[in-house]
Amino acid sequence: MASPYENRPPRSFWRSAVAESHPLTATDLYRKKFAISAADAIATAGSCFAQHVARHLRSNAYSVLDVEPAPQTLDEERRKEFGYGLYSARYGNIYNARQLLQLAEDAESGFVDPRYVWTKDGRFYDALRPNVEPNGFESLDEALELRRHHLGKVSRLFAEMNLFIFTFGLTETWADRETGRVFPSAPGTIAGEYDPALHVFHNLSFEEVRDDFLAFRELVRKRNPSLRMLLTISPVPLTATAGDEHALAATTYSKSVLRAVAGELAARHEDIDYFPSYEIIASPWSRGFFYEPDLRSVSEAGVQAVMRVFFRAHRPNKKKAGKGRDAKAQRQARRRERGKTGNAPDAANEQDAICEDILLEAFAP
Amino acid sequence: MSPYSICVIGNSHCGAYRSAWINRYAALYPGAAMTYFAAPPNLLGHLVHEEGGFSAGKPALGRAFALTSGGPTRIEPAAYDAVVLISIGTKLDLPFLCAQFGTLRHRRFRPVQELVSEACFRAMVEGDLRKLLEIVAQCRAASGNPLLVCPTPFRTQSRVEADGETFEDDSARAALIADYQAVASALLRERGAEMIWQDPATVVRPGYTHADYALQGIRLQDHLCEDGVHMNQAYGEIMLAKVLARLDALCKGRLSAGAEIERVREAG
Repeated sequence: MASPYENRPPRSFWRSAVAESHPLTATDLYRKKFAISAADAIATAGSCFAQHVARHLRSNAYSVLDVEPAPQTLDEERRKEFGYGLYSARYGNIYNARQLLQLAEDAESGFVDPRYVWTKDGRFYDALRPNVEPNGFESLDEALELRRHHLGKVSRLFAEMNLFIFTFGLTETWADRETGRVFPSAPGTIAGEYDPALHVFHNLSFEEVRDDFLAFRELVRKRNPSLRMLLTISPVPLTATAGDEHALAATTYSKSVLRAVAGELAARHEDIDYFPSYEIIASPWSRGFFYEPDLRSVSEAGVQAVMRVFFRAHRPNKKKAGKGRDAKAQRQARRRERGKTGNAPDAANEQDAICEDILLEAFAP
Repeated sequence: MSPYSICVIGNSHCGAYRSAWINRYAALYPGAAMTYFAAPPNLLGHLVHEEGGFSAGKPALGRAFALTSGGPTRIEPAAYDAVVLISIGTKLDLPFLCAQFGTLRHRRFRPVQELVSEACFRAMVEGDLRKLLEIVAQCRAASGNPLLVCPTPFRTQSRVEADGETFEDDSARAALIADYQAVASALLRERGAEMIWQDPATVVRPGYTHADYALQGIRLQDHLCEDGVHMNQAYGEIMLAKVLARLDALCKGRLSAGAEIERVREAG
């Protein structure tokens, strides 16, 4: 053999696989490690891009768990505002493995601490999921009790799921200086106040992300040993960096670390697969056209392109599409709504993902 | 002085009010006029808001309006001294609203599977009243005149049981209904409208209308029925008395001005 590359398939060569190919007609980009069926109990979590994944899985008759279902009278917009239906529980966006590990540990122990309740204008916000109550809770007691309730649901979710789809978002975190506990948004962004004496910025390293995720995996698999995981990386860049790097360099660092961790986890563990949504959207292949004009938000066409690749590998049950429990509940609600009002409820924009980090834009010069 | 004109928009539950007006209160309030625009709920869904008023988006709705109003098919809220909305999007369905859901306060008197915040409960009620609030906003945009809302009457106990929808015990139902009403009243108040809740005298147990008020219940066009859903003229009289009294207070006595004022007070 003249070269070890001599008999490699076309997918191994940039020119044939990427430069002369088109992301909308991509084939063989992703080879699944294990099958996902409509019978699998799927849980989703992660950064805001993961919301799209959950939505598409549901609409294709996959069984996406929802342990904190929305009240039926809330319309789509209000459901999103209250953090319902975005993921399998109301944990809001989970941007990194440390946040995920914290959640699993808290769900296991039932740990609730009033130190992690922020205030703003007399309202109380769960600092560990500040975006699930649009105007905060009315009392500290309410914030703590609803957190306890939430943790109970998450505990159940982690025991019941048999496939966990997690989308890594970023590596930059804000932490409690004393306890090391990380928050999904910087203090002072949604609520609370930034105090350098209490809060510290930390950019997670490769080892930290990997070790946190493995610790999460170990903890959850104690009760759920057959759990499989599918990892993705959000292609959504950082809204802002708290580090000294340029925002582009900071984004590249974050995504590179996350991509490397996901790659290593998938390579080393049979129960972990990696799905290349990041590559579909953010690589030179797509020439940036899956981004909205802000070069940050992923267009619906981009989401569709990602899901097309996903569903090519994990074929949805078309006969059951639109017949799942969610679809049935939605139909019932629509029927009742029509009976009550004579009109279909307002069509909500189902495409918009909820990303609290976009709030950092408000601090831009 | 021109009569105090009241526009009533609603569904088949308007029948009891209309009967009460025609057979009793019209004579007592010579200085008032009531115009009803009523239609079944499936037709009311075709109410179209345009140019400051409401049009019938379907011929059948126009025919229902013409029948109940005595001619007009278009509703111009600004042309009336007051608007009363009857049973539009106000059927309280407690199991649908909160069978699984409840707040910390609710948890003190009933099991709560899904805990929600007070703010979320308010959003739930707001969602439940979505259509009503939309019409209230549309009426308000057209006119600043008094705007009252009468809810759908509770069904009778036997009807609720026949529907298989019994829910919680009396004290829990009473507390949930009180919570719902407090939130709904606040939502309407914020939008410049006012709820006239079902009179306690017509309620036999929390959430159930006394069966007597469902005897010879009236639907649109005076169709009598005993379905446990539609109430009779006696019910209409009690509720309409409350409506008229409130409007009279809001217009500083203009409504009750006339020879029959003393009889009105006696009747009240």
